[in-house]
Amino acid sequence: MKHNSPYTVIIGCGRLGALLAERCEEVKALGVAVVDKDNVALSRLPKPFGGFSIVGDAREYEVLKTLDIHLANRVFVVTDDDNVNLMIAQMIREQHGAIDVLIRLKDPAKQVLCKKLKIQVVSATSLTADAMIGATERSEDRCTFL
Amino acid sequence: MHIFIINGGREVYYLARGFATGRHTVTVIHENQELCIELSRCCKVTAIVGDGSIPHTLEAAGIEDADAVIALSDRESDNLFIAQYCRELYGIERTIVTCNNPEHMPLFEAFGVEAVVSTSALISGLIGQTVVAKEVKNAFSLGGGAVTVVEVEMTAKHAVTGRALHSIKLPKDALIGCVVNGSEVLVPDGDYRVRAGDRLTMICASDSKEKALKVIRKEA
Repeated sequence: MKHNSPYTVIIGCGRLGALLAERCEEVKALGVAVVDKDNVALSRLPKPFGGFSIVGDAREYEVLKTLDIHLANRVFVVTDDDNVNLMIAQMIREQHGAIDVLIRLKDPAKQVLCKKLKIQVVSATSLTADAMIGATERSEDRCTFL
Repeated sequence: MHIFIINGGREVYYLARGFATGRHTVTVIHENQELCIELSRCCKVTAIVGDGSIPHTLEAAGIEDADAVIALSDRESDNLFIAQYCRELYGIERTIVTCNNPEHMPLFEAFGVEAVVSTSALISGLIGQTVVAKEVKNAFSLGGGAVTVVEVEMTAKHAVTGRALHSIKLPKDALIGCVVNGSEVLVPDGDYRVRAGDRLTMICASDSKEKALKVIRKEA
């Protein structure tokens, strides 16, 4: 595979992975590769899809190699299993310390560990909570002013 | 010692029972309720039904009291998580986990797990070594494969039986570290004479394994 930088790798093609792929593809200058161990999951990708889609288990080094991960400047690890995401992030960092790796985390209780291991996370649960609180506060503001 | 055993299959039952009779305090966290009931009935084990790969369950089970944690799940990413969580948050150094993919063994160790056991690596090691030599009863490797430990059973027909250890010409990086015969266990010196029925534990550089085994297995 040949990529023009910047190149993004997305691991896990659930709803989030597919949405990320779509967003990355909108910006045509960005190369993108998506991997999932289930080929049915890859059918979530937008059609036509200009990036690479690969069937494989990213917990295996062979698969990471197939993805040309060393060329990526960022990796989104977004499978639906927190512990799998954590493990893959560490595998990538072990081999390619310079790549920006971001994982999706469902359980906010695991954030403490991620912080200690210096793994960047986006916690869907915390984000949703923040957004909900934020939205209600804004509507309260509106009520007072109206 | 307070030992936590988390997830796994039927082996949990025997491990927990063994540790409990060996005067250790044992807590089991397992998703199978039947296993937990069975364990709490038959031995002095605290059994908690739940998924131990979730921080909440670990904390509710009192993980902060653990001296050692054994994670046996089929999902090795869960085992890695449990070991790292216990180490980073509670300072538990003794963490032992299983992993399916032998390729991940050195990696898990680099990530701070104290001991990683891979059934597939163990079995392929045994198959690779026992099939070629029926005397070899046990074999495993340490130090990421650089060191091999083999157990060899001696009989009257072997050339080294009856000879003193110092007279056996083993490669430089091989050593007989232990002898087991029946219930007797000893660490031999150079004057020790090999007897029929001895199980010799040989520690050697993996590269010298074949050469060392050839010397020991030679028939009279």
